[in-house]
Formats: sequence, C-alpha cells, structure tokens
Amino acid sequence: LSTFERPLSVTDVTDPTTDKLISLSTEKTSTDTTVLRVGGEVDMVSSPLLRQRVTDEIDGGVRRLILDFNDVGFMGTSGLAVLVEARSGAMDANIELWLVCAKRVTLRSLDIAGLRPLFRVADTVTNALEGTPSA
Amino acid sequence: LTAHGWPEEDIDDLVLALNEAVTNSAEHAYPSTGLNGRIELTITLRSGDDGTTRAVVTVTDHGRWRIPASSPGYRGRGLQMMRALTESVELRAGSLGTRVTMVSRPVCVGADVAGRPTDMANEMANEMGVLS
Repeated sequence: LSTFERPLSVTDVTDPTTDKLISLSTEKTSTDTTVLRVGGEVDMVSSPLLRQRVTDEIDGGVRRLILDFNDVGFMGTSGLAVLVEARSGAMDANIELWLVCAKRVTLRSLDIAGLRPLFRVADTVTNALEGTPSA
Repeated sequence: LTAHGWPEEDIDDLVLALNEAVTNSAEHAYPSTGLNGRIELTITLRSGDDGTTRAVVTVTDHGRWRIPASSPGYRGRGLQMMRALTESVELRAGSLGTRVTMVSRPVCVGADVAGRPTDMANEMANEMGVLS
C-alpha cells in the first residue's frame, strides 16, 4: 500500500472559471483507499470545488481518504471549513481521514485555528498510507 | 514587503490575515453581487522608535456590514484568524461601508523604512479576482 503501483483510477479536474487556482486529482491506491491530491490555493473562490470533491469521495464508499496538501501554497479559513466538514463527514461514514501537510503555510493555518490536533496528519502520502503520523 | 526585507514567515501571516479580511468583505458586504463589489486595500509601513517596523493594512468595502450568521461548521472564523495573526484588528462599520485595519506584529527589517504604501495589496487583490 505504500506505493502507487496499481492505480485503479486517476482523474484530474480543474475549473476554468477559477483560472486554475486549484487542481484536484484522485488516485485509488487500493480498493478501499483514495488519495486526493490538492494543488494551488484553497480560498473562498476555490474551496467549493474542494468541498464538492471531498464530499463525492466520502459518499463514494471509500474506507480511507488521504488529502494531500503538499502542493498547496495557500490555505484560508474557507479551506479549513472544508476540512472540518470533511472530518465530520468522515466520522459519520466511518472513514479514516488523513491530511498530508509538510509545508509551513498549510500547517500554520491549521495551527492558528487550533485544528491540527483534530486530524491525523502525515508528512507524506507514503507515511499516511503506512499509518505513520508526523512527529 | 519582500523588497523591504520583511521576514518570509511574517509575510505569510499577513497574507493570510489579509485574505481573511478580503474574504469577509466579499462574503458579507457583497453577498448578492458576488465578486463584483469593489474592495480597496492599502499597506503602510510604520517605523517605531525602537527600531521595529509594523505593517498597517486596511481593507475597505462599500457594502453593508452584516453580523456573521451563527451558521454551522467553520464559517465566520476569519476574524478570529485575523486577530491571531496580527497585533491588532480594528473594525469600523458605517452606512457607507466597512473598514478593517490590521497592524502586524513588529518586525526587525534591518534597514530604515519609510512609511509608504505598496502595490502588494492591489496585486494580491487582482490575483484573487476581487477587484472588478
């Protein structure tokens, strides 16, 4: 599970109306695990796209969802709101939710809002797949 | 701010705070017009007697202030975020609009800095597509 040797499906969607502020791509690394890679900026304009995609994944019957924010350059409270909703939705659906965050800008937002302790956070996708949280 | 020798981490915090202020204006002052409302930003650097410098940021809109709804989830945390990221946040709401004034934490930029506005705020607003 620690590598992506056999991706079952890969999709990539950007919304032209947001001028590609955000990029979202999902990879099913096993039958029960999906990695959603987020790139760009998560703010008021782009966060609805992230919310929709996360909701779709949670509703899609996955057992473990890994949100990779290591290519994100900005995370405002609009994005944090999506994370809090995702946490709630994942708990209701008994989904194991991981955030992959190693960059300061993302961790800073989580810390300022006091949210980091509420999530499983890993430095890399590989660590998340192995169940190894950040130090 | 980079040109003025501002520390990168302090810039990140100010950008985050500024984003929240602009987001609040866009969401609360112009809920019906979406992103078509006009939001004015200024940044002024203010040197203190102790050799430190603070950035004073204002965000002004011409919409009507609305009390943030006690909506579920995580909306409405922007003001808390702004307060946590800066030394002070002042909010003035009137019939003509709302102005948020934020003063950054003091930083040591080394060189003597004259207080003058920069274009950074406007560039940011343009990137964010806020100005019409």
